[in-house]
Amino acid sequence: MVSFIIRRLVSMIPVMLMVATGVFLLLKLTPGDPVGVILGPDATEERRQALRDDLGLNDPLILQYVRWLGDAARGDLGDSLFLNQPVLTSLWERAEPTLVLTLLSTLVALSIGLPTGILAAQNRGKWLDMGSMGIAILGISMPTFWLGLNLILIFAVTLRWLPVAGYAPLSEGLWESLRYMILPAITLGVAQAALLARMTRSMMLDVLSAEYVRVARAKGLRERRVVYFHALRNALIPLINVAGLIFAALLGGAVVTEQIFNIPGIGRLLIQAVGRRDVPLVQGTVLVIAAIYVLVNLIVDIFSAVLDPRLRQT
Amino acid sequence: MAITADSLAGAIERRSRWTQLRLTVGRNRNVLVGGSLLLLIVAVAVLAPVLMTHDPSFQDPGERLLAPSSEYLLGTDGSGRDVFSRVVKGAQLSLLVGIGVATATSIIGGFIGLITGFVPRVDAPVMRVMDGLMAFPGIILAIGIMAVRGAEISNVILALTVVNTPRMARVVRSVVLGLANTQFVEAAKSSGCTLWRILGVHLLPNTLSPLIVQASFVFAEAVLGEATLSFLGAGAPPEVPSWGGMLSESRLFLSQASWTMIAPGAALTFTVFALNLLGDGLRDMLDPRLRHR
Amino acid sequence: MSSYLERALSAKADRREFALGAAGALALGASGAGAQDEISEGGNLQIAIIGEPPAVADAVFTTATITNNIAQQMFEGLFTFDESFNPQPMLIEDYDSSADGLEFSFRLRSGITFHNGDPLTSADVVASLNRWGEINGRGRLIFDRMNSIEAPDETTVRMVFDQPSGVLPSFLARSEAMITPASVAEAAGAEQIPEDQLIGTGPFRFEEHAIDQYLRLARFDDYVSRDEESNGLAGRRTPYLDSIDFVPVPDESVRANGLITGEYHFADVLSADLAEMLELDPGVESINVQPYYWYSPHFNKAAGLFTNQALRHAVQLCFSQSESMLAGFGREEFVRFDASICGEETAWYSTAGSDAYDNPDLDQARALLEEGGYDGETVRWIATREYPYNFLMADYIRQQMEAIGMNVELVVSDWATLVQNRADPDAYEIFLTGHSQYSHPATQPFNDPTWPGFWESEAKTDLVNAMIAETDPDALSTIIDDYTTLVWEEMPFVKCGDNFVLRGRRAEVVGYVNVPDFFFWNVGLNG
Repeated sequence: MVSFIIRRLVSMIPVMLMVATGVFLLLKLTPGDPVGVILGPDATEERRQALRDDLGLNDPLILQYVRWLGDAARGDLGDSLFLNQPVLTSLWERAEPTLVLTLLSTLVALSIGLPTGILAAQNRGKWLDMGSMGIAILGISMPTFWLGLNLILIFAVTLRWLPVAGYAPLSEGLWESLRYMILPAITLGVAQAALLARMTRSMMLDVLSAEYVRVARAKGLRERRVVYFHALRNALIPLINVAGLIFAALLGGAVVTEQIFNIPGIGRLLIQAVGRRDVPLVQGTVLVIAAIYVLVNLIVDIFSAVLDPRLRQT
Repeated sequence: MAITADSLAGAIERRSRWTQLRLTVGRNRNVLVGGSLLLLIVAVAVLAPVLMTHDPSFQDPGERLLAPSSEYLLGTDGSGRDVFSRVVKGAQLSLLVGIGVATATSIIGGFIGLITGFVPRVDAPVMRVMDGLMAFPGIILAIGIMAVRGAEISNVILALTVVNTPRMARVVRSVVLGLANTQFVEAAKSSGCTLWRILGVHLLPNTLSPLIVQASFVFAEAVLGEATLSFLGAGAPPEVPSWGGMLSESRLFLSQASWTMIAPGAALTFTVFALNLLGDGLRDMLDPRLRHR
Repeated sequence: MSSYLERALSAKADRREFALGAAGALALGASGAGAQDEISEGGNLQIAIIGEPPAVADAVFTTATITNNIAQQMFEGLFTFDESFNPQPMLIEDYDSSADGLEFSFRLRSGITFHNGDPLTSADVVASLNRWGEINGRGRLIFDRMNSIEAPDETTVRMVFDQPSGVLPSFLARSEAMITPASVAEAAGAEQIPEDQLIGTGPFRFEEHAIDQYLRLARFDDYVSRDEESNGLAGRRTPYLDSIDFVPVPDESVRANGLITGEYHFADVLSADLAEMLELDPGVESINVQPYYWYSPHFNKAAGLFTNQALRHAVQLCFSQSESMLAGFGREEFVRFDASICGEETAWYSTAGSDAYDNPDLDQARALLEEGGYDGETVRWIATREYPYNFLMADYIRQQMEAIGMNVELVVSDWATLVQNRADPDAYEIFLTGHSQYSHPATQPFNDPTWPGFWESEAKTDLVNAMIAETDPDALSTIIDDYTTLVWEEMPFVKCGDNFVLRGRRAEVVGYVNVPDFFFWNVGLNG
């Protein structure tokens, strides 16, 4: 098991290197001047050159790349050009909103998706199944931003029950923070709930038709116990895989959702950093997101391997 | 014209194949409904010049933010443009990008999948690159590419193709991997077939079903992706009517003119819904192994 | 004194007139005076701004408008502007200047302390202005003419110039000439001031900064106000509010919707399209900010086609400047068709260019193309869609240029790219941008020949020098007339017109005065 984990960790390295190099090249190919954005429209050319020198932007590309890569390997992602603070600090400060948003949307996804999927599987072929699966396809087809706008229109602008946008940190109280997060979490969670419902249903159907479930039934166990105890537990293995996928999708979806609801999270940070050509910040952010993505996949694989030893060989 | 036995047999076979297809499609409600809805959207896009009641780009400051009426079926937007005509026109962009991305992704991703699945030497390096691409959040990668290349429809297609190719490659690769050691491929190898012949004649046809299924989902992803990029202001140039762009503009008038938001969003959802339904149905029909009942 | 009063009154009258002229479509921001005794103390004001300010509040470091506007709440300079944009004493009691404009002696007000409790001394002023002279473009302009700046005693600052510099107070009144403790200025140098060192003398002090969430300023309890009646930024400053949060909200629709739903009390830069909607909402007041900015395509005069003056004139003659403003900004209440490079609200207004302005003549334009030897070369116009007007105006003018047979390619990119490209003389022929209508013409960036567009002209240098030197208002007016004439003659850019910006505030925000660089002292929250 340990060697499996080590092997998997080592295999992360080339992927991360790929990502790092890719981001660096992409950003260097992108025209744009961070200095012009920082110093404002009236700055003199002399001053712009001086700041570029200060920031090391006039150095040869390869030198910039090696320097950045070396620092990154030591865990130093450099300083944001625009925000004038270490990239890791910028990321750390944005972690809370994004994490809260991601967790709450996962909660939304689980609490809607799982029961719907189970119910649909139990009622396979009946109107409940077909209806809920129809809605699920609709759910994955609806763009998150359109759902978000509809929610804003109804609950924020018209009814004024919840704020249109913004963020209150958890330190200001759970309810205050939740008030701001309800709409974004639903916006982001619904599509994942739909996805989860579809997956849960199909896995439940796989499992319900499996041998041991038939045995359990034959033993005269009550249907409910069969479904919730035997079947669901076994369906959880593939569902862990799905959870990994959903987490990754949420990170990507957070970009758009944070933009609509003006949430100061990692997604919005990234979009703004691209607009300001804040190269170290973009590099650092993408690298960290990619690392999280790869790590989540690793954790998923480890879980699966623990539950199913056959997987350790591959 | 003489009817030869051959041509007759061919005709019968064709006929029965056609019947079979019709029967399968007929039995598969998802393909039927999804396909019909998609055809409807294609028809709207093709017939746009006839359907549009106004010039979709004509700005009339005196007619700003009018509610839906018989003159303006879906009202007017913040610049006094007819929302209905813009929604109709927007179907063209969505389909263009969707078809473009689905085609490019199928060709490039299919090729990569074939090669990596069958030639172990190229497998590891190429799949690392694919892993690297997949570790980017897709939308960020697309925004990055748009920033480098500039706001053009062709660049939107390019960006979304790059984003969607790795998954296509993986699907095809996994099919090829499953076939690589089967008897008929072994037989082809031992009989001295060239690599390209094995790939093209023996493996390619077997990957077509999963490829088509995946392509239909890529189509849906691309339509959504284009809308998202345009919504974030990183998509097609703003003078091209786009559902995502319309949604972005509608936000300013949310409380005042919600129809500017509802119409393009509904069109977008409808299109992606049709594509997902079709994809689901095609999967059930063509690729029983991936079947989700 | 009487002339000052007169100016102030006439400016006021002008504005009223305009407010009525706009058919009552837009209420004026608010009336400043008179609201004084109704304002209650306390409260937290939420202000939606267009984005995170670069360098937080260090207006010496960056020329970004948003940073300057925030800095103004916390920092003060030796002078500030009244509502007619004339410099008025701020941190100084009074000053003497020699008639030749070579020597200035400033006496600081007594009893003023910084936010950290230290008293303001002349050494702080010298150190702060030295930093300004070193890293700020306009500061550099002044310091290049300067012989010495010194502090003969605790409360006196003396400046001696090599060349006459009568314009000095107008430069010192800008928020970038802000005074910090000497230790802060010296430690920062060419770097930006760290957050915990943002120490000024203003009515509000730095409290807390959560990047992308809020920048919180708190009332400075030991603030010592001037006694004069408030007038623009000048005069009495009373901080009523407990605190102000500047919330970066890059998305315009979120600013608008947040203002309507009461999430924010004040929203900066809103689309003019929202004016009517805000008007209809009883909880919100719309604010039409004028003067604000004027817009012009700048020709690249360092390389390529438009080194040729005839071709620059051909472009100016081929399109209607007023139409281009309407194309860019849409709504008539927010544009003004004017040839002057300073708003009519200011003392620097000039009608010198009116004849040439907005007088398209296609035949003459074609003749000038011929004369300039234009032969179908491609004009690269770099534009951005990040600011809609930028693309819309460029696109309109492009069509008109093509109508007289020019070949125009719009190279569209985002703002960060445009800023980079416009500094490269080989990268473009035209770009478009805006400039303040309420700035002394000598402070405009395009006077600097290294600034994008690269306006190199002896006549211009002479006139700018004369403007900077002049101490007499009437003589200055003549110079500005000449300068404006020169602008329309050498045509370094085509002034298309003035634009006003829409802001919004909640009705419970009282005491707000409509000035281009907003301020929140004398402002309270009622109800």
